[in-house]
Amino acid sequence: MTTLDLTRAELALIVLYLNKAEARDKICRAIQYGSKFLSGGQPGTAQTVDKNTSLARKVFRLFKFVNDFHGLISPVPKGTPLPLVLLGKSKNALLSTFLFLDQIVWLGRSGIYKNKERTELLGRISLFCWLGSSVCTSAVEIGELGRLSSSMKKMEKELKADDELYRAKLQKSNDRTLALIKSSMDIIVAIGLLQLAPKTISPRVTGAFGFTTSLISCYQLLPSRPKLKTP
Amino acid sequence: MSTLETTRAELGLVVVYLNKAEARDKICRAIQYGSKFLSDGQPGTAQNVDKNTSLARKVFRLFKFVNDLHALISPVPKGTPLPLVLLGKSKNALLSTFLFLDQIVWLGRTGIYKDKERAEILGRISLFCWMGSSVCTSLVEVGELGRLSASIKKLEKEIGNKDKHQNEQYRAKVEKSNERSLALIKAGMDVVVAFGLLQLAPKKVTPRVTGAFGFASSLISCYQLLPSHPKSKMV
Repeated sequence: MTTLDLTRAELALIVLYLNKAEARDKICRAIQYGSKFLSGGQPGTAQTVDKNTSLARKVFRLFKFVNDFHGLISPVPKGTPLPLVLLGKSKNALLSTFLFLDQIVWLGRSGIYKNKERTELLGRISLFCWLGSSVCTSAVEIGELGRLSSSMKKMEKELKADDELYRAKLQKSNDRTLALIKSSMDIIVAIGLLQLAPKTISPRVTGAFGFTTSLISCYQLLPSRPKLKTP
Repeated sequence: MSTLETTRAELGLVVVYLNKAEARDKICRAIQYGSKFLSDGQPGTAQNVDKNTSLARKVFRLFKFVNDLHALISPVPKGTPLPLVLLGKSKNALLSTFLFLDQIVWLGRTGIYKDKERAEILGRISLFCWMGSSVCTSLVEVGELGRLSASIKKLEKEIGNKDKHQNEQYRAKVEKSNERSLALIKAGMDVVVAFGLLQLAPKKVTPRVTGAFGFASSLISCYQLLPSHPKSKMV
């Protein structure tokens, strides 16, 4: 019975993880960019999977712009400097616009909205919004990392390095570093999708970076992060 | 400020709702069967949307068979009669098999799995599993409704007809019975949808009928997933 209990507990964690819309979206994103990497932009099974999964994610993200719109009108934590607040809100506004326009792109791709030319144009604008939101996220993470490191240095001087609070800040700083890596890689993905530098950022490079950022997102969504208990 | 706060609170509820994978899946299911209804199986935009959304849902349900596998090996509430337990477990097993096979159907549709013929056969088997699971769900709901109505009658005798609406336990049971009736209606409709998808009665259950029943059962699912059911306080 104990092995059954153990399996059940493990399965319960997986069920909990997969019940999040965001986790499923990021798994599909990994499939999407993984097949973009494999196809290298050439027609074939891999490209079909890439395109189908891209379209599938669009229909699953209908109304998701509400998420960032909600973030936009929600209050920020007290003590956040104004430049970081503005950058954070710009990120919300840009991401929300991207997700809103992406709905129209879905309408266009599925043939409900007939104007193909305008669909393409809106698709490009939406990708620029996404690029902008990734730039904003990177800038926010850099700013927050700077704030964290200065407050940690202050604590080190006061010999509070064993403090619970210090360890929490260290953990936070690691999380933010990972988020910074992810958003910088997403900038490259956006440049690739927009074909702004088609020679250096080929579909294969775009796929590789997109796949990596998807895996990072999947990791970030894990229910309880592995705590830094073993030094 | 207060209107902004209300909007924010309302949006917060929408966000929580849409963050559930299940809610998003059922919204897409409504789109899928809604367009099946509109297309009536004829080529065109509506059929395109139906097919694309169907494929989209498959990729989003990868690994979802784990859900029912988990339910299959989880203990049941104490006091459930053996026939209902067996029906419930059969439902879990059938649904899990459906979701597992559906993954192979997805692999076939996207061209990763090359054997088209076998993908078609597995698709049909998977739909039979789904139909079986809907039949099991219907039977479970009928059985549970019977048990509930017996215990409600017993309670009525004990507390008398006048004060029954003041009784917390009585109200909870009536509420539960309403929920189960809705689940029974949904499962019954889904049996019709499975009939339509398998084309077992193509003259009666046309794509339009299938679409209509599928759309209605999707809306019921969306309602069931609402965070807090509207309580029947104002009666």
